[in-house]
Amino acid sequence: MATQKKKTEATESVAEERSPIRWGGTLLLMVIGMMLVLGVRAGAGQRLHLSDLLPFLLWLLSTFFLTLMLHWGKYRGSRVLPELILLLSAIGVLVRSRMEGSIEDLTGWRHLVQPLGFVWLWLAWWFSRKGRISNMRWFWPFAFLLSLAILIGLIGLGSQFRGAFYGPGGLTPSELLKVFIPFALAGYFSRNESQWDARPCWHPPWASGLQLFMGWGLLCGLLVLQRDLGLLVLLSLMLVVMLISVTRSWSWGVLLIGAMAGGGWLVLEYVDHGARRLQAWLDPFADPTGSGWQVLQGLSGLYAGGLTGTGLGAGRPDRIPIAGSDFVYAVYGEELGYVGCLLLLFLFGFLLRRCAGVANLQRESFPGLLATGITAVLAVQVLVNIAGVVTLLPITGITLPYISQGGSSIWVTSIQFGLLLGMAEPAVRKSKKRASKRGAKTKK
Amino acid sequence: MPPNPSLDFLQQIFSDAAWPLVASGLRWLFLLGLLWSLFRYQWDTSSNRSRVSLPRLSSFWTFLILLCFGGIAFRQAQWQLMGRHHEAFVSFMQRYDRREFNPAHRIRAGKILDHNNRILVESRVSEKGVTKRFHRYGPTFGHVLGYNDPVYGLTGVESAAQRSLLGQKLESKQDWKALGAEVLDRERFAEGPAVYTSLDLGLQRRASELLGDQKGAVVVMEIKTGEIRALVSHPDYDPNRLYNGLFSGKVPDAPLMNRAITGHYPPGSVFKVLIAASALQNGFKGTYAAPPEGYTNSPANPPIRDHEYYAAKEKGQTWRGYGPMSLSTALAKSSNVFFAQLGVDTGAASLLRTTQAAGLAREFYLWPGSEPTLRVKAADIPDLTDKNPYEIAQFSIGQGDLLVSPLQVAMICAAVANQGVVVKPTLERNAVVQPLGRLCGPQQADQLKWMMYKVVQEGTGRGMKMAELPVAAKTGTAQTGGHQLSHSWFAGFAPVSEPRWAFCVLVEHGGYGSAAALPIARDLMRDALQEGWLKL
Repeated sequence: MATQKKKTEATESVAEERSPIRWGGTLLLMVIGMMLVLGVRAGAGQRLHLSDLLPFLLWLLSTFFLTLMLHWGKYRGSRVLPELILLLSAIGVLVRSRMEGSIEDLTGWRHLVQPLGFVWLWLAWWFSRKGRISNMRWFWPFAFLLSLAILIGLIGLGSQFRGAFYGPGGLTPSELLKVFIPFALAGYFSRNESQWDARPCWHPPWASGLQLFMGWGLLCGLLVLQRDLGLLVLLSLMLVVMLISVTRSWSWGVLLIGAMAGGGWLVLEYVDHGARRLQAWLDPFADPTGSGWQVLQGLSGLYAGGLTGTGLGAGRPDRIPIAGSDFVYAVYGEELGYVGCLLLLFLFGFLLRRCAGVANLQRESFPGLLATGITAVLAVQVLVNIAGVVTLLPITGITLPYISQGGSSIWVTSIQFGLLLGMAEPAVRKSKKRASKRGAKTKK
Repeated sequence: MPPNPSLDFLQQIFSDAAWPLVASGLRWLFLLGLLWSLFRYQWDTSSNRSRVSLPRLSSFWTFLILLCFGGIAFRQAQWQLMGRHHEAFVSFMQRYDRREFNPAHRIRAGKILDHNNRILVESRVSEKGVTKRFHRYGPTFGHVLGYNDPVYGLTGVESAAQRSLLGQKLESKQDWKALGAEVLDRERFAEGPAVYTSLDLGLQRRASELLGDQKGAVVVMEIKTGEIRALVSHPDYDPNRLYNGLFSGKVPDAPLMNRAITGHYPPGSVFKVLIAASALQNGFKGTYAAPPEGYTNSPANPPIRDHEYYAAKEKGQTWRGYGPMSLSTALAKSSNVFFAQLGVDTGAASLLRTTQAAGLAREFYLWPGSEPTLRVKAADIPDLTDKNPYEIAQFSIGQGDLLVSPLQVAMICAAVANQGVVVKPTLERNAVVQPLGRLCGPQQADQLKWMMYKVVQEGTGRGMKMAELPVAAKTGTAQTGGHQLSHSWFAGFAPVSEPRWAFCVLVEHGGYGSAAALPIARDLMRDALQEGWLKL
């Protein structure tokens, strides 16, 4: 067994140098999708200009540079992870190019969102690769304080629209919490790891538990004040996953039930028309033209798509309110059908599997927990968003990573992916490699 | 502004005749390409690196994530692939989804049938592929079945039963097969299941013919089950030919109004049946005389007189009045003076209790749900007090502020034949029988039954006397004020010994009950017997 492992590692180091990231298939899909989208646009009597190619060309350029940077930087991690990320970004660009139909949008800054996201991804990768992330652990309390500052600043200075708070330029800086909070938690838990190790939920480390409880209560309070319950649910679920991970005790899963009950109570208590929203989930047909309208229009789109969809570009996202962010999955399902949706689910499944693989690869607790937290955030985002569209869960306003519209969401997801890429190539410690590997095996 | 040249070469490709075909090929290619690249990237066997970055993951997490994804895929299939079988969903899409390519728009509503499986309404597909509802008998069923029109909306049974007309339940293997075919081949025109009504095609048509140009309503219902066999209201409208003017309110006589259930009329003498039931329930056995000077409680109120008084006066003769007579005789002669006294002596509380108990104060729907055009409104019942005996007297002869619908009168007659139990009328075939109230006890109902039989045998309803069909009934002549003729009522049930049907005929401003309404009821019952619609 041991010799076999040695062998795989030996072959690994050889293969690293030789295999560049493959994205030919992704490029082909992009070209086909672009032709389909432009074909529909031309069929509607619109004259095509060079600017219509802009989103695709920008994606092509930025992808090219990203892979080039990864290559030059001698990226040694899993090559499947960046390949799946690129495939996801291509689908996102295609679906979004559909919804930014007007000319102003086409020439506007929106098409720079994904390319800039790749820049963020590259930066995050560069600053976290080869174990550099471990050196930044000292930042964790500041990550928490920054999160609080963002929330307080938003409540004080931000403008309210559709129940949520936005910063200047329609940005949602609170998206940054999806990176900061896993970072802070990972730092906190790795510092207090010995206290939490093997403690079930009925026997928690009281002093440290109280600290955590107070900090979390503060965060939740601010999120409730901000009416951002989607983010609250997202981060709470991530906390549960991290607790299970750090204590290696499944008993923390019962917190899920508490979180769900608390979430339900908060919705009824604090959200405008909370009861109506819950009703729209339980029985959208009770008020089809009111509270159930958005969900039912999304489902109508899915039904219109059927098994194989209407084809890229041929759907009617304008029929669904806020199709771009919350209901992008319905648009995707309308255009690519049930088959396309299954493939997207597979893509997300594989991607999450790879992210979890990055977490399992870590030999130290801090990057391990950070990768776990980021993976949990991504998984919850995917599941909660899609489950909301197909009426398994109520609508929460959580976006679908890399597919939904919204600069903040795409950029923060890029940072998350960048951190994962960086952690996918852990520090090489030639002498200690064996020993630390054995130590890491006990940890989840 | 940077130069923005137009892409003529792409424009040429897209305007090519072959492009649609190429596009559909590209659609498939996209899905296949996605499948291919996804699995090629995932199961990367060219190097062993993937194995290194993919250590064993706790099987619980894998299971949890797989469960979530599986749940999503399953739930989504329920909407996206099997949405056809969710009635409310199809109904929503047909009403509110504006995607013209949505296959839900091609699902045709099912047929509406009468209780003998004869088609009343069906969906037809025009040459352009547009589905349209078609009423086979035009205006005959217009009020009760309503219309389903993309412009004018939905009413009647079409609206109340729309969900069941569109949806389909997966029950047999065949249904699953059909579902599979629908998912794969979306161009097919699917049709929803048929809905059965309790109506009788022959009876409804005949009733409509007999009513003819007269304004009014005919109701025939099964006594034991409350199933409505005919529900006619004139003037009517053709649900196949709707036009804006119909809804503008400028058309005379309100043809859209269903007089049989939403019309509120003074019932006149037919209401004496309920007064008699109330008195019998109180144990009344006595007699009253009907003097020619009539009944009044003060000189300020014009006396209530029997119609014989007016008939004699018209001929220049004098009427000597009736001596003391029993309830049975008074009902047969329809003596207003008798019933005025009977009502006052029975008391406001008893009369109101009976009216309430008979279900006249209750609002209900002829089809499950809350379709407004099938709503039977509560009767207008005045607040009677014993301090105002004249109002009670007027109530007792079905005048004053009391207003009821023809269906409610038929309900009372059905209750007399049904041992006093009021059954909720319904348009559903084989619906669950629901009691709506109780008119009186079974003994009193039996007494009343033979009293109503006497009305036909020797009283005001003599014209109804038929050798082949013994009928029990009551006439009504309701004054409407002004110089117009009275409303003409005739309501009862048949046959007397083993009652099957209760009926009510109303002719607006038709004059005496025996003059306008009675012949319609007589011809209808005779034809029903001859044609075999009514089986003894």
